[in-house]
Amino acid sequence: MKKGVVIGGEFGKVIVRQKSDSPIELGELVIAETGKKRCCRLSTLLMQASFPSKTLSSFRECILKRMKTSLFLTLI
Amino acid sequence: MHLEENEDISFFDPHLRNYHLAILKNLITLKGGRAILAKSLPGFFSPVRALAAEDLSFLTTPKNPLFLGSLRSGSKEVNMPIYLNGKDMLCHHVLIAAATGKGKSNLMAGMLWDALGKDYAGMLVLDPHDEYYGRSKHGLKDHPQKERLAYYTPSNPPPGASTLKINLELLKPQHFYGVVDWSDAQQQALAGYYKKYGKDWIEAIVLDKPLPDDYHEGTVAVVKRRVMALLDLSFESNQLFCDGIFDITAGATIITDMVKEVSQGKIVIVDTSPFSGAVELLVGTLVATELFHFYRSAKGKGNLSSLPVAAIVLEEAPRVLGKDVLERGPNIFSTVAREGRKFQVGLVAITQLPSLIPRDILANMNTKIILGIEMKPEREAIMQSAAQDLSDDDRNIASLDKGEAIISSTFTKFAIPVKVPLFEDIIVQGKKDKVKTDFSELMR
Ligand SMILES: Nc1ncnc2c1ncn2[C@@H]1O[C@H](COP(=O)(O)OP(=O)(O)O)[C@@H](O)[C@H]1O
Ligand SMILES: [Mg+2]
Repeated sequence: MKKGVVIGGEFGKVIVRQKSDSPIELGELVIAETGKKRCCRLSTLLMQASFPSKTLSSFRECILKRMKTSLFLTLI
Repeated sequence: MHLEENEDISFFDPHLRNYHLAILKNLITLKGGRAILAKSLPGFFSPVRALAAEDLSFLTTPKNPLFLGSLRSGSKEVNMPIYLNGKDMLCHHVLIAAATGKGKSNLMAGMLWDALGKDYAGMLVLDPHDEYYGRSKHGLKDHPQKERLAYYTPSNPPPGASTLKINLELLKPQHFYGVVDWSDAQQQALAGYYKKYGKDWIEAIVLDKPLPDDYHEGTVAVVKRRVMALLDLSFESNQLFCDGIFDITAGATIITDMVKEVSQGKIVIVDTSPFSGAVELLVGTLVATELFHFYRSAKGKGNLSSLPVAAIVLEEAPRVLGKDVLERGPNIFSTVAREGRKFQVGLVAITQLPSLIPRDILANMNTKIILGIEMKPEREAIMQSAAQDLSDDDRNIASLDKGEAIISSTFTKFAIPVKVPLFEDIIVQGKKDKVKTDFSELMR
């Protein structure tokens, strides 16, 4: 079962983007396939949602737009 | 998805923009079914997948296997039994650390159950809760090979068990030193009595027999009072009465019997539940000292390798291995922890407070079985002395549920997460297996 892909990190701290429908649990054992096989284990609970900077800006824009709209609506 | 005031928002391509990141730690690199230490990183965009049975082919059964539990992935149990080489593991000392109720005793019972069927290890279990034999519930007495189990209890021994009575002549001054806090003068008085009266020294103390050197009257009186209280002795019309487990006539061979049984690979359980802490330690010190001396002299005679390893199981270990206790001087348990390995004698120390044990002794315990620990200083003490780098596992250890363990050992390539089975389930399984073998005998 696919769990995600490696998108960066450093030794002892591999950053994996989780597949949305199969969350990784704290302490879970997973395998990263890189030609050679590797056995990785989730070691910290750094699993909260995070956004790459691009997404973050569009997210903010989106909130601002909604706020403007509602302001506009109250004015009327 | 809602924002404040319950307004709807939606994302463009939500599955691409909105996701979770997980941070993972390399444990080992698998190469052609072999496990090597991880020294490189997975490449960018390497796929990550769930564990499959064939990934675990590197986990083979070692020599002298001791069963600890099944491999665990997060909170899921993987159908893969985890064994360590029991002989290596036990004589290099084991620490079982966890908060109360996280399953230390349950794990120990399972380990004893497994070791009972094997002949590479003999064990001495000092059992302050009388929980391993299973006097009134299930326990080791239900084992199919229970003839390899010896049970000593002070009162009402069940059939097959022995009464715990220790002859006063077996006691020596050094058995008393770590048990209660003696002043230098008091220790000297104890030694003085032993020197002058030999094996009758306790009687000499109680009967106020004279000492050759000038000991302060007060010191001698305190020594007498304390020895009598500790051994539960009384004195009336010039006669000595034994009200506890220490006796003038009975129990002359009990300690040699126990040592012999351990050296034959048996498990010896000593029920110390009715005793005060000091008496329990006195009994433990007495047996452990003789066991250690037996193995040490076996090494001297060159026949150590024909003996099974001897492991001493100790609950509430900081009582004898705590920093404050050891400041007053070494005792038999710290001696075993420091040099027992040379003589094939190991400790299995059980505790909820590993931080009380000095660093050098913790580091000497080459296998640590860590169950759930809520208190941070306790987790730190364990992590700092573990065989693997567990510095990222703090939260992991804090969140371990009952029976969930991490085994960090010099005999494993990585800290293995394990689910320990419930002891009741092991017994049921053992009975099923026995029925199976019984059937096979019928069919032959
Ligand atoms: N491996 C396990 N699986 C399920 N439940 C367990 C397990 N180990 C312990 N327990 C439960 O927790 C209770 C306390 O366990 P115990 O071994 O006495 O803890 P401790 O000795 O650490 O205080 C047991 O009565 C049992 O019900
Ligand atoms: Mg317990």
